[in-house]
Amino acid sequence: MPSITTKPRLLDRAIADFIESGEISLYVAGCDTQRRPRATRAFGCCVSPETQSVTTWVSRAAAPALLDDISSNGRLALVASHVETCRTFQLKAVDAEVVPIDSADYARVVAYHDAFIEQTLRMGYPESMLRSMMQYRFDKLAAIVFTPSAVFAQTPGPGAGERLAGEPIP
Amino acid sequence: MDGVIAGVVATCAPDGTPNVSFLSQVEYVDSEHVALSFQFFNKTHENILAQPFASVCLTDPHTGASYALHLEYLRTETTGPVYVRMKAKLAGVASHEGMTGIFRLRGADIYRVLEIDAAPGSFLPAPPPRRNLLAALRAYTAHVAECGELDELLETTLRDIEALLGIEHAMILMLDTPADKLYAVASRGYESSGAGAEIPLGQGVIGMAAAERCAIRISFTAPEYSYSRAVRESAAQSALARQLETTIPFAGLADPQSQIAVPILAPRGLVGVLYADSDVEMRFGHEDEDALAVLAAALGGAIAALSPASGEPDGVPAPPPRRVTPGTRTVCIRHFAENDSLFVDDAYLIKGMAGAILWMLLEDYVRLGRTEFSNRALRLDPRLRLPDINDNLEARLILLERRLVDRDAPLRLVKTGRGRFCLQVGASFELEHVPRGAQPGT
Repeated sequence: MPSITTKPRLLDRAIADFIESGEISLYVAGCDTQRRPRATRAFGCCVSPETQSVTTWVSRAAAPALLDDISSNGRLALVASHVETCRTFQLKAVDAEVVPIDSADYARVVAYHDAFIEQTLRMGYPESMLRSMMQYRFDKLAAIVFTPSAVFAQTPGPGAGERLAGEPIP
Repeated sequence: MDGVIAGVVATCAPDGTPNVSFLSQVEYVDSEHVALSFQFFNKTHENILAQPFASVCLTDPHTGASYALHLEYLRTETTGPVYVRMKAKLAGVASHEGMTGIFRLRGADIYRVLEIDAAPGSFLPAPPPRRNLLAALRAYTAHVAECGELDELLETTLRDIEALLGIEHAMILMLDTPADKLYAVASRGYESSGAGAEIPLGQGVIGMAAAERCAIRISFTAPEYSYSRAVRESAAQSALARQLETTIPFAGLADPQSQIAVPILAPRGLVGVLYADSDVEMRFGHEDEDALAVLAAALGGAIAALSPASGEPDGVPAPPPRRVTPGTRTVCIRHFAENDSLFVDDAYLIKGMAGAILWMLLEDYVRLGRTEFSNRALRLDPRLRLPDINDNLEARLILLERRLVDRDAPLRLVKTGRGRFCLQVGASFELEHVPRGAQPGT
């Protein structure tokens, strides 16, 4: 029986749980044909246990050019950093696609948003500023789906930049 | 860019692979340039060396609005004002983030800003300015114009810093050119005046601001920039100095959460440093730095204008001599030629040029009964060997006045007119001179 995916499995359970949590700050980056980079904030991540594909959500209005770049060349970098501990991972992909959001995404974005606000409120940030910073309109979001081709540890310190082999999600 | 909300930097590898990583620091350089902290030999640095474009996402910590800065890498600086400012600021950030010893600035990567995109949205309004800083500076410059003497100018400056800018703890330090150090001459808002406390050039925020002639601002507590250590180290200057406790404690807050140091510049160069601290994190923002820089520029100009070397005549007719009434007690004043330190009954008073000046005044008083002095005569006296330019005599006399008060010594310097003062004594003195090379007490 053929495998459901031929792509390498790089996300172990710990990393999958980490990037799906609401306690992380998330950004997505891409490049255009001139190798000019762009980045934007993302509103949560979801990892498919079957395919290891990752879905993340960004504002179309904030990042139209970035979405064009990702659609045209599939190249993406996503960084996830714990807002309190600074534990950080970066995922890379070459197969990223921009897809419309669906109703199942809605609950995930809301859950990420609420958990993020809750965590950062505990750290003492003012709520009005946090809600202003994390504002989004669900109907203006785009979903980006990709399968990680590489995962890097990026927590500040001696191990930063180390490429992680990762374990398949059980 | 003073945000406590970390931004990210995106770059692109030669093969077209994007990279994105969190940033410790973005420093405003000028209206067309920013600097990013280069801490590790990482992918970001590798990428920008191969192709120069980068994009930075920043969030305004007051409004929540986000901005994308599209940048072109120009160069990495490892010395100079931008590097020094970032290094100091990073020490505060590192301490705040629990990253002391991990965050180390290798260089300041200088970028040209090509374009700025503001993300759409409905964000909080920017908070109104805490004060009208322009009006405050206008009032200050008007007050400065009325100051005819250095001590009045320094007092006015510190009073206005509190009254007009709301900064409660501040001090002014003057440059001691031959010794490459700064000494505190006036302060406000601290438990002690700290007059005479010395900071070597290059040490801590004050020493770095002086060495690099640039403002340095730290928004969080930064142990390696604290002055408890700096002051201890400055004491050890010679074998004899080590045997003598001649350190005057620095007056600044013991554990400041925010610090700012701004150089005081005059046409002839650095005059000193204006320093302020606070027990509140992020107390000093860009606008405070701008205001203090303008204020320090006005102060530097005013100090230069008051300097006798600028052509101002020194000395107006003195009032009638004061009657001197020595007290009944006898005080031993010991002078160590090694470092011109003076001890009053074994208690340290002052050293350096201020010590040499007071020793000379005391010699003249004890031998000649003289109590009236003029700055001009001091400048010409061969015993003092004051430098021809930038002698800072007025600042040293102010320092001396304050130390006498701080130590409750039985003598005072009292102004009797412009460029003139008298010695008021409250005791009889025994003077003891310890030549160079002799041990204390011998």
